[in-house]
Amino acid sequence: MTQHELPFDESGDEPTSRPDDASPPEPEPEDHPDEGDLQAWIDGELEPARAREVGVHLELCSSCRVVVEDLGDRARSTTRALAVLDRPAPEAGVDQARWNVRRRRLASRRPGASRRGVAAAAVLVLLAAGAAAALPGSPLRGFLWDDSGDREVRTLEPTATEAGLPRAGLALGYRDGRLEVELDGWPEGRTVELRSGEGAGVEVESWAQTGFRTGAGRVTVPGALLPEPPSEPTGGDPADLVIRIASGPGEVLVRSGSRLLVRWSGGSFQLGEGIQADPLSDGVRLQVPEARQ
Amino acid sequence: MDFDALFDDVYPKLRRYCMRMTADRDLAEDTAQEAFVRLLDREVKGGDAGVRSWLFKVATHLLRDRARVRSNRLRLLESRGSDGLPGPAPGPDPAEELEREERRQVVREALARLDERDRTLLLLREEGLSYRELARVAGVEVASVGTLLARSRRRLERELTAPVDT
Repeated sequence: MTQHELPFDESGDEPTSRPDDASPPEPEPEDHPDEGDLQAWIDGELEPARAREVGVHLELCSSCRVVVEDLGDRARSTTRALAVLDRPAPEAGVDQARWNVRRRRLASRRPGASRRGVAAAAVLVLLAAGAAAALPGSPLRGFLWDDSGDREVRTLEPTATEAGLPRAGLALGYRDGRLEVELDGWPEGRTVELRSGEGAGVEVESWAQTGFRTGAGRVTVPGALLPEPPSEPTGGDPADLVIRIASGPGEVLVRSGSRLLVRWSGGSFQLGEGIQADPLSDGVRLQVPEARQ
Repeated sequence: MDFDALFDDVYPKLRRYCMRMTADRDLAEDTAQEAFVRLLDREVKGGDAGVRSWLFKVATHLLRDRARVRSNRLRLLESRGSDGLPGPAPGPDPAEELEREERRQVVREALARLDERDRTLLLLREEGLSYRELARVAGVEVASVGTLLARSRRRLERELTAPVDT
């Protein structure tokens, strides 16, 4: 918001540009800008030519300066009064809200997916921090592997952070018969692999620090990216994120923000604009691109 | 501006706007998020300002619809002053907390007594919307925004200082 400064010394009544030897007559009443123009002048919202006219008038008209001061005072007291209503947003509220938006968008696509009879993808999340070992036989397994068709949407949601570590996660869901994977918060340059999987679901491996947390109808994964993936005992160059998708879902789209990274359909991979990838025996490996401005 | 940057910039303001309009945190967050969900499926023209005013306009309409559904009036009108949050946390000075809550209640009730257009304009301007954006959201002429803003602030001031009916 641009606001004009009063063109006179705030401490005095006289305009700074007024000559000492002769006081010009006050403008005629019909020349006074109306209150709306004065308010717009304060807010910097007048067209330049009109703003100049009002500015000149204010230099000459003490009564309008009083109005301007009143309007300014009232605007400031309004701001103070309304601020009383505010309470601090919960920590990480914006990140959480962004996740909610992505999840809700995907969830809103469910009817189309049901009509097409697409089998639901189960989600299995394996984390580096030993969570995978806890899966076999655990109640989580039954929750994560869900072929009922009623729960097409799974959101992997980072709800906890460690200082200095970026938060990142995924949202998965069906839209018009396609499986859509949306990456959220993955910094530029992080490596992502899209691979063929076995079984009947989607498997996600991520170098995150955390464990599982489940809630009604969703899977959440609190976590944060490690600065670098840990080196594997077997050597190699592990990707930050590996998504393995079993046969069945048909077309798969992977996005990051608004950018299409890769479309996988009929055994072929079509890369999004400006995306480069290395082929793998069972998929592709690419890097998260710079966010599009 | 990409989606994430837009979200980081606008969501807190949109949430606060909805919060001030409804005094209900859950409703405010739900409404602000719903506006962004709708944005994802649309191509909104007009650059960043166009998208921002579109989001506020959608949120305003959603709030209006939801308020209508919910007993046909804004929660602002509720006299108990619940904002969907737990009561003031016990602080070092309960008397101060109580006083703050009472001030909130006074402002809520004063806002509730304004007509919808005044309230909308006031709260949108507090979020930094330009006159052009205000006009787009509130459905008024750009040239009349200054007058309407000045008038609505005066009305709020009057309501804030008006004796409370008991």
